Amino acid sequence: MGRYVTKRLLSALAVLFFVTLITFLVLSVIPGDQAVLSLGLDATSESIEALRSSMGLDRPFYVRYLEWLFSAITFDFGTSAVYGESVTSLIASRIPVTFSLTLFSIAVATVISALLGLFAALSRGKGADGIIRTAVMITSSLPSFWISLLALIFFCGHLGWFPVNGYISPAEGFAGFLRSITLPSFILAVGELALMTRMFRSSLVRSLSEDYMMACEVKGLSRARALFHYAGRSAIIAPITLIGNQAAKLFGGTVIVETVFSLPGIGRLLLVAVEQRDTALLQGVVLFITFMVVLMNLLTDIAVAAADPMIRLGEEGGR
Amino acid sequence: MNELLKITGLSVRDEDRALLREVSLSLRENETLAFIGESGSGKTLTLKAILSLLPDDVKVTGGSVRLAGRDMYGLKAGEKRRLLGENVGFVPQNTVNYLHPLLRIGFQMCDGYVTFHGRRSRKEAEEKAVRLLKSVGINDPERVMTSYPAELSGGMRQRVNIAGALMMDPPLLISDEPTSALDRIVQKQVADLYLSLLEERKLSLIIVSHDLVFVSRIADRIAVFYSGRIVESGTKDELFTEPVHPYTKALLALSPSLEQDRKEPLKEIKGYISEDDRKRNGCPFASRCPHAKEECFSFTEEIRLSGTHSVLCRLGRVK
Amino acid sequence: MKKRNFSLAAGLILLSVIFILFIMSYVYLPYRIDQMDIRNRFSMHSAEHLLGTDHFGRDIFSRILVSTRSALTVSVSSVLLGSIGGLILGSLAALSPLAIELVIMRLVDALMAFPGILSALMLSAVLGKGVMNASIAIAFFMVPVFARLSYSMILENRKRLFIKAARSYGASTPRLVLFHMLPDMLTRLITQFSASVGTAILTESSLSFLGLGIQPPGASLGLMLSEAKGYVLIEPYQALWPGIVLAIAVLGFQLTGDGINTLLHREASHE
Repeated sequence: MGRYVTKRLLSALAVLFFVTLITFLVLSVIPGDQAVLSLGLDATSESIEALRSSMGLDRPFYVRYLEWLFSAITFDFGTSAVYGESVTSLIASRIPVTFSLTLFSIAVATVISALLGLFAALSRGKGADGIIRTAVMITSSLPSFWISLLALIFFCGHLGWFPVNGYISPAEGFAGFLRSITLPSFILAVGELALMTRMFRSSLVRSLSEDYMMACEVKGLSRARALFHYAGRSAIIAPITLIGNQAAKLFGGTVIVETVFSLPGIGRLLLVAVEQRDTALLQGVVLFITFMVVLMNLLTDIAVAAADPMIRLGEEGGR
Repeated sequence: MNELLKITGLSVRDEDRALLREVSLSLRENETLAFIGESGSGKTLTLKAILSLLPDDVKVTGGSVRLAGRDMYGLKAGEKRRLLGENVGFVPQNTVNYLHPLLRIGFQMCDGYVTFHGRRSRKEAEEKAVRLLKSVGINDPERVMTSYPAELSGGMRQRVNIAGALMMDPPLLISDEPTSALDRIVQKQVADLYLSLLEERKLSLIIVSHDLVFVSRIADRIAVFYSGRIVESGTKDELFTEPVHPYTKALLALSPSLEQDRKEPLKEIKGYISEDDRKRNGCPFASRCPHAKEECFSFTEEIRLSGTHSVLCRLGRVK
Repeated sequence: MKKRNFSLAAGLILLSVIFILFIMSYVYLPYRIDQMDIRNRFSMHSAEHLLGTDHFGRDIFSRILVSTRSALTVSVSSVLLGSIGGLILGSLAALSPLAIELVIMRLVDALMAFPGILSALMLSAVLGKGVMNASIAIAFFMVPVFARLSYSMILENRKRLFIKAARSYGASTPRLVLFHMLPDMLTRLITQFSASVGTAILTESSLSFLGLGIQPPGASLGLMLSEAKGYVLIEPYQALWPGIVLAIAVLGFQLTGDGINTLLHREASHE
């Protein structure tokens, strides 16, 4: 186990290195010039030159990269040009919204898709199986912003259950906070249903066909015990990995619902950074999101390894 | 002696074709019955029919299976499970996934016992499991109890399977080629284990094996399967010394260890089982049989040669 | 084949709807997409305007027709670009010595760490708004998907027996890839390709919805929905048709991919 974690940790560090490199490369080198970007194409060449040297852009690439990397390690991403605040504190202030959105939606998606997957696997090849498969495929093909609009029309306009927009922080009132993120969370969850239901279904179908299910039958175990203790035990591993990975992706994919429902999360911050070409902010947000993704995937893998003796044994050289 | 198991006229088919036709056999207490025959001849399927483990697309179209005096296919699912759990132990062919890879051996061995004897029997079950593991030749049962299947060798796993099958002290043990997936030395050890188990315990055994030497050592009676039918059955002596059916003769002649000159090439039975053989009302072996006459293709009957010996061939009549 | 392939049939029907709209946008366009009829804003469907008009009185049907152009061109070209990139990267990793393989795969992992919309946003910040840049941005995040796919396929294939056999009579590595692995990989690539086009359409429309793809007064499904958003509680009808067409397109590609997958699997199991 220890060896596995170390190995996985090293590989995560390697990935993070590339992530920082890509982020820095894409955002400050490829398109030519940050100075041109921030001044606009019609700026005079003297003013660009002046800005370049004041920004330190005339130094070699690797120097600038390392400098940026080391300040990033200490959570210093510089100051946002748009907000005039430190990028770190901007991000920190936006974390709660996006984090609760992600958590809620992944929880909702997990519960629904586990139930659907279980049901589909048990009625494999029959009508219900096909209906579930088709239904989740259709719902997941719907663009989230369209569902958001439809939900706005129906739940906020027609029924008046939820506020149209405006975010209420937990500090202002927990009930209001829940109301303001319920709808967006469900919308995000809908997008995850197809993938997760499929995964639950297929891994359950696979373990149901294994020989140990025959053993359960021969031993005279009840159907429920065979299903949850035996089939479920191996069927849960692949979905855990997927849930972890999807949670990480969701964290970086909330921009649409945050926009539609005017929620002040990381996604909105990202969008502002993109629209205003606020390089420091953009680098900070991108690196933060990707860091969260890598971290989340790492934690998932370790959790799965803890749940799966095959991985542990494999690493310890067991047969 | 009582009849522990009685199968009468069992016919099984899937969507396309008949898989078993009119299989009848009986087994008394303390008796060992061996199934021999080529792959695909219906040996394993008969075992599965006894264990009511037939795949979903395979249907029983006629006949009955009576276990311990009760008609298996007339029972409700729960009753059937109980009947099987208490009366039958099963040892599979393939040891890899018959034990759940993610659950400890001890848990899996005790599971059935606890189901039938209630929660409080857990400790009792564990003691029994340790005793059984010792009796199947495992030196460190306590370690094995807390191991995962992947930590054991194939031979060890098969011993665990045998011990597990004995947890309920069933009167009947069913084994599907228990030695075929093991290497030669372990094969011999497991075969010896079976012999000593039969000596020590009051146990009936149905065993499928391709190893005729093993069969000759262990079996009281033998049933020869061909293309979903029993073509000949009798006591070991009857079959080995005076086989009647040409297929039985051919099969016995195949065994390389039975007085065969080493320089002679390995023999084979010419031809293969075709779809027509399965459909035909006559003898299924007719198309490959050197003694076949025209009538063999349209008609065949079971002929009793003695109280124990019967054959599905006209040659029985001549005799 | 006993069972009919429902996914493939449904997928192809949906796709043909989109292709008909696409072709129609070149052959028969009822109105110019920027032609405004200010007195006739927010009209419902009528003989004049099949699907009604938007907040500028522009014909929604015509705008949807033109939208299919960008939806298809952006998504197909970006997936094409991304799959080629991914294929090269993936096979390079699979066929290189271990050290290079590890480096490439960590790079691919790193690319994977950028959730789809994030890399698209990041790149459009750098490249600027517009169709061309949207394609490149989407292609960027298709690369790791195809890289992983081709990488794992090559590794799997290498293990297979027939490859071993081929190697034993002395076939060279490029020959192996070309004649033995590629046909097998192609089928799985097509499946992934079709599903990815669906995803790409979603991403393209998301970018447009966020104002980073097609720019007004151009027409794109995402842009139309973004414009509808402003009036969504007063004129909910505006949000209906662009969304339906978008869903048809995405679902069409997804189902087709799914259908091809089952088709090939079934054939494989018949061998």
